[in-house]
Amino acid sequence: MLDTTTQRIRTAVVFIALSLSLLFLEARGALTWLPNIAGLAFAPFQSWSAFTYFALRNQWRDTQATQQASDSELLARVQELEAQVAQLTAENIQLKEVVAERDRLAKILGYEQALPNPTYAVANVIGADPSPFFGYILLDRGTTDGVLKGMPVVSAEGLVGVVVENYATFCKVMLITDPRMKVNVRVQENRTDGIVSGQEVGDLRLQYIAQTAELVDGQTVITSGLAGSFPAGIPIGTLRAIRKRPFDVFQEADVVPFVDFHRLETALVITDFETVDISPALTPTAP
Amino acid sequence: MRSLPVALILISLAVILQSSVIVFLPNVFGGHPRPDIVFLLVLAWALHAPDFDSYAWAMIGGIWVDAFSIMPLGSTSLAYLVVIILIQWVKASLQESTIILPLVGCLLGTPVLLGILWLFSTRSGWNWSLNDLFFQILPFTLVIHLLAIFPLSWGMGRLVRSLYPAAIKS
Repeated sequence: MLDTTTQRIRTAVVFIALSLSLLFLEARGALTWLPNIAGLAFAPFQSWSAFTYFALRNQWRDTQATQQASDSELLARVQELEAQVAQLTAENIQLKEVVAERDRLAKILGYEQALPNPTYAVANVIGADPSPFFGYILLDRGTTDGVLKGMPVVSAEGLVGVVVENYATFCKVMLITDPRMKVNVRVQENRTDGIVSGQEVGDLRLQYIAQTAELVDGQTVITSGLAGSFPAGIPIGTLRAIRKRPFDVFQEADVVPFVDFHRLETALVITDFETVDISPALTPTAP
Repeated sequence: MRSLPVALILISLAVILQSSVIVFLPNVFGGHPRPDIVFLLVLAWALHAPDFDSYAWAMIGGIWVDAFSIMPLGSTSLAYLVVIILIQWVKASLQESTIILPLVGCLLGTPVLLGILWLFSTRSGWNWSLNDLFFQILPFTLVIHLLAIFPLSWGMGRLVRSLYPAAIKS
């Protein structure tokens, strides 16, 4: 009996030691090959199963929506969308005019407009972090596609996150809703700068807004480009539940993201954006 | 270890499902709680299988999960192993039962697993409070795990009996 117990303890200790060795080697950066192998072996299957799941989910949602909406409701919706398209087309034309005018004026002033023309790598969402604690997604693009750590990730709706780990065939993206994420932002309507940070419950919060700034529900929050982590002008979301209390130093508000992270199927990695490391500038130097 | 090929196939399937389907399922409870099917598989196996096999399953499962997680590689293995060691101890104390053992295993294993992962996450800089852990994540994860462990345990019991017929005494 004692022998069996001793053997059991020995086996458990050996496996615990193995596990601790993994943690030690990981901390020294000696195990990057392991996720690479896992990615090579699993990523195609993950891609297939995520694709199948998304297709089934979309099919089910479409069926539900069709069942719920009657013909007259659908007709009304089509008319509403047509009106919206007409309005957006008109706005688009106006915006093109504004851009043309700006270019013309810039030329007159003799400025060379270095307009950003980002290069994207289109990536499919093939999974998410299995742990309940983190807001990360997995994309099917890695170093072989030119995806590197620190590259911003966007979708058609707005900012998604940043690449935090890259392997040969896949990468891990920290979403802007992750509690460790901080993004320098600007309220588009009044050009007030602040910081959007992720919350534990998966929401976004706008912080460090001066008490003098005029914040209104529904205003648009975009990246400011400050700190050099993201290009300027990427939409993030709209303001909601503004909290302006006289005893606080700053105002804060909730931000409803434009991106629906639960429905995200495709993302774009901006592959030609170079992050600027401003940490040396923030380190105080001796006089 | 006769179950190694089975472990590799089943755990790989579970990891693929966990990281590419389970994580996107609509959460009826809202927020983060989601079942950890790799853990449930490892736990269900450990309820019936010999010690060494159970530890090996925990190790393989943890490594595969960590490969796709932001957690340090080895952290989930360590969490699974601690749970399995506890389960082996419980198994030695309790009689073989199709109800009590999975129930106790799940009620004991889920909080221990989440507690260890919480420790790793806070050590890595995430600010999950104990309040979040106990009131947002744990109760709902526990409910989902309790619903899933019984059929899984039954299936694993059959698998263990087919792999190790001589070791099972009626």
